[in-house]
Amino acid sequence: MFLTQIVNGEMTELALCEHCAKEKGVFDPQTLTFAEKFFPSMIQDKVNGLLRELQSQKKHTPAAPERDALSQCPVCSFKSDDYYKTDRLGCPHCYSVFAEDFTPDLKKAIARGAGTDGARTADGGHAERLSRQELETRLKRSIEQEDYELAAQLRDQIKALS
Amino acid sequence: MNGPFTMRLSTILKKPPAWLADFGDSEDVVIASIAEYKRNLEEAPFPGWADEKQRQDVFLKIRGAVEKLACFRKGHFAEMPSCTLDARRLLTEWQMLTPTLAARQEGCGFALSRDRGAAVFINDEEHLAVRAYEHGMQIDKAAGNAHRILEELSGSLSFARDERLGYLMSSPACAGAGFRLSILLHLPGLTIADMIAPVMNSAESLSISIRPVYREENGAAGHLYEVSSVSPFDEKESEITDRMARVVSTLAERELSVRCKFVESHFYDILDPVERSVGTLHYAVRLGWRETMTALSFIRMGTFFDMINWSAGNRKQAVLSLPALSHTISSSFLNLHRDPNLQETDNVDVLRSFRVRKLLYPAIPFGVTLDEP
Repeated sequence: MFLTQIVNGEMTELALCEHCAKEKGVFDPQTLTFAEKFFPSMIQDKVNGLLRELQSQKKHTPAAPERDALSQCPVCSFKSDDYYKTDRLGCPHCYSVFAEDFTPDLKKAIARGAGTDGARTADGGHAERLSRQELETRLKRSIEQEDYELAAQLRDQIKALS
Repeated sequence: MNGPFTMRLSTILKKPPAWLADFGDSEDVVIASIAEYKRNLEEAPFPGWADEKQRQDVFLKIRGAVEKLACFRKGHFAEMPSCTLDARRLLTEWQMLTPTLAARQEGCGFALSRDRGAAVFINDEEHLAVRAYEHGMQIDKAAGNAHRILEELSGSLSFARDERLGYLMSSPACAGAGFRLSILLHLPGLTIADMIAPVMNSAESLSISIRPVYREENGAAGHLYEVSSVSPFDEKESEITDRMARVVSTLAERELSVRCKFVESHFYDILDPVERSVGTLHYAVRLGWRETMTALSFIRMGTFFDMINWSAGNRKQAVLSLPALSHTISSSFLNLHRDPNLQETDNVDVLRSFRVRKLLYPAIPFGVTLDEP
């Protein structure tokens, strides 16, 4: 359903699916005309409330970190925002510019690989072992970044240590 | 003049490559093996991000390197704009183009060896992809051939590589060996037994992907599937090859055991679709592509159990013609080889039935001999 609201000459449009509209408890498409007709002020209040809610959600959506949004590859001008749109990088140089900062797949790859950080300790694959504290810090960070697969690996490594 | 590439595209499109128009193995399960290496050039934006000029630079650089390769001499080379839509579709169906490359234009192209056993893709998802094809289960041979071509190319091209991550790809999740194996399988038994879905579901845990060869969402036409390696970042080529060999051997064994079990316990349930398929393909006037592919698959399976009663003296030729027929009945093939004397409006389903009638050898019902009244 589409709603158009004009306040002080400024037009705002909302597009909601029926399910979302019902979930918000605001509009029943069947009764909208009736409600609008008899309780225009009530509808007005609810539309305003919904707009405020949506705007605040938009503000708090942690899509791309702001720091990353600003970074740009000097070779190909690829921005980290572009990665979120395409899941791809711009050129080989992008890897050294910012990929490791925000690519969970890459982090996982580095952690799993024959790299130098010794994250593959659970299976004894590395001589260098991470301390329990460092593993816990990484676990916390991976949960914050919603990289649950890496979190599960780190959890297993912590278990193996204890 | 197209340099050392003297083969015309029309010649390539006349018939499917030898490695595809074959039963592959004696049981008609493993049809073909494809090995692919992907690489990106240093200091050049990835194809999806590059502008036209940058793509063209990469294109010319790789083309120059491919021109020097002996195995592509007298082969074919094309930049995408020179290919018609039907040609692109057909080459994609024959695994000699990827859907991504088929959709690209200037600064993107491909080279095919004269025997069509090797291909080079330029500015596909990555700057360079080298493919080698073999019929049946020959992943080692295919991988060896692809590796040789790559080695020769690396003499004149520098590839982007990171010490920890391996070869760099446009998608960070794909960085690593830059090597992939695909095997084309004919799995009518597992499909009939409804075992494809569980196999596909467990594919992820085996680090493989199984999907219909033609990427359909509503089941694989002709019961043809593509099993590909999905390699973890640090897996070596030899490990990928070993793993795929084990997976494919298990799948092939399972397919054969299901087929045999079905014939033992449900003989008439198998004979029925086989015989119906023979009848439909010989007598139907409008044949859809999917319907024809399914019917040909049943006939291929029936051939495996000697259920098809081919007319006397034709058995060997009849059987050998089946795989090629499966790959020359798509709309793109029929459009490209349309008889100019026929009306433009002639329905492609009708054209398909004419082609099948012409090429499918005659057969008589199972259990009947020609001497009987």
